Amino acid sequence: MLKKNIPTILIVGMFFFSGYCLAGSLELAEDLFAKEEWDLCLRECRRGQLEQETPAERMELLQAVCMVRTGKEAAQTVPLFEHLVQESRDRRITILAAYELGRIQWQLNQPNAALKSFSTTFAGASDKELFLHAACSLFLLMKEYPELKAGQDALISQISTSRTLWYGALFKQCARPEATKTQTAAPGLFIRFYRNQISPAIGARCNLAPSCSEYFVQAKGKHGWLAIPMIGDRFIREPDVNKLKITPVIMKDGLIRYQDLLDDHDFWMNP
Amino acid sequence: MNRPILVSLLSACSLTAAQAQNTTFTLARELLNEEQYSLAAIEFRRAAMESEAPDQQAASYLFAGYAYLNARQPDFTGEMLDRAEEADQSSRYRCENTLLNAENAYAARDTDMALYYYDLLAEEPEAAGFRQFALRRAAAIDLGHRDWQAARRRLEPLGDAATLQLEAIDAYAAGQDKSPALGGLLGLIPGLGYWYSGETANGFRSLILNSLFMYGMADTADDDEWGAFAIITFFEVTWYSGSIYGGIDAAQRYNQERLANALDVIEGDMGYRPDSSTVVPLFKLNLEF
Repeated sequence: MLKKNIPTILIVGMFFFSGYCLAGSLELAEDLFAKEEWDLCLRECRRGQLEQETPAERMELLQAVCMVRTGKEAAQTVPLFEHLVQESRDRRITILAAYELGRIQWQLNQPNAALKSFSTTFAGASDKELFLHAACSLFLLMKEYPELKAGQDALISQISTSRTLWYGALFKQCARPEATKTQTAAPGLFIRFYRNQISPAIGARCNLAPSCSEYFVQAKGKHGWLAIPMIGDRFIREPDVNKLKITPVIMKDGLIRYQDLLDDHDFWMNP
Repeated sequence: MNRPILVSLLSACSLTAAQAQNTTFTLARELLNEEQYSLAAIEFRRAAMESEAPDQQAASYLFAGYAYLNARQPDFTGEMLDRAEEADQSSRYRCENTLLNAENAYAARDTDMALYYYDLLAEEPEAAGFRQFALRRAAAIDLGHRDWQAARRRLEPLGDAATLQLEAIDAYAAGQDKSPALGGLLGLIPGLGYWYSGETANGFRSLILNSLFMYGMADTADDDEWGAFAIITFFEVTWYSGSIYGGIDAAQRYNQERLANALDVIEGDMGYRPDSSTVVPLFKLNLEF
């Protein structure tokens, strides 16, 4: 299942119910956006802009949000959102752009700017979900930066009135945004020691792909300590796999190794 | 504006639109041939949006569905097939649509749904090729559930066209799966688990390695060399647990290979691809046996 987040739903919803006649690239971009195909959506937005499709602001908003989702640098995305907030003639686009901008500013440790952006959304949102998200974001932002509360009594009072409508997941969705990180399986101490100290001394001993240390890391990540019998089994089978030479793989260094994937030995655990 | 000029202008406009659509469709076909499935699907969708004719729109969506199926994006595939059905309410592409829906469900391992669509296709009286395809795929699903009798029943109506496949099912039924639990139990005695599943060399290696390391453990313990004992024990735990795991895994691999061999005969030579001769958006699947 696709994990939807609130701006995605709102943006798609806004387009869907807007009654505008959507042009080709925008319609495709909107579809791809709904399915969270960020890269493809980004390309469609650029295509639409080149073809000068209208309404251009919608395309810009989609493009900016996709850039955020694909982990583009804030330096690239902030000007886009700022432009939309300041220049857009469509109120809904301004409000949504302000919310996204606030999230980025919060991530960049610019609490005052984030407060201003969230306040814009909070004051102007006509959509209930967006209103609640803006309120909760403001609450969490002020909790992290208590100095922001100074002189904001009216705002705090308004936020408090909406608290009865908040729900558990809202806090998670509005939590401080973290920078996108590439998830890689971190090898443990023993594997790091083997790779840094032993392997360079004895050379590449494993003729299989992935290598035995990588196989162990994958197995450990997937099955925990069951990785020990799994790697024991692999050591025993390795000469057979080499002898059969069924699926050769040419490595980056030009060496030929033989494929022996983890999936071929744990398929029965996850039918 | 007089009528001839208006007609000429309208003709020019529709010609330009048709040309744009044809260009998009050609690009999509090229991307499909280059196996850039996600990109091809987008272009097919664009072609569908550019088209006014329902049948051409449906064909473009079917192409998009086919491309998404190959890109392993089941959600998009289903959506495109639905759109194809909505675009053209006639039964022109019914078989193609049903087959792609079945394949989509099969790829997503939703075997109940896949069987439903294959059964629908098998009931099509006029689509002989589709019927054979559907019955063989359905038989493969049944065999995947280890129900060889049901698989056989499906193929019997095909008669001579399925002789090889029926023989493969009979051969599968005549054989016997290995028990993974027994394999693991036998693995307690190093080597036996592998031998049980016919992996003789692995069995000997397991036996020799475990024997050597157990001897090493006993010897170092005898000599009170506890540091060496700890290191050897660490490796022996790996070999010994590997022997048990290997007994289970070898049995599972044996069973899987036995099934794969039978499935290869039943459905290995089957395939389908859109007719490459179409230059306008018309969808036709060429089935291969």
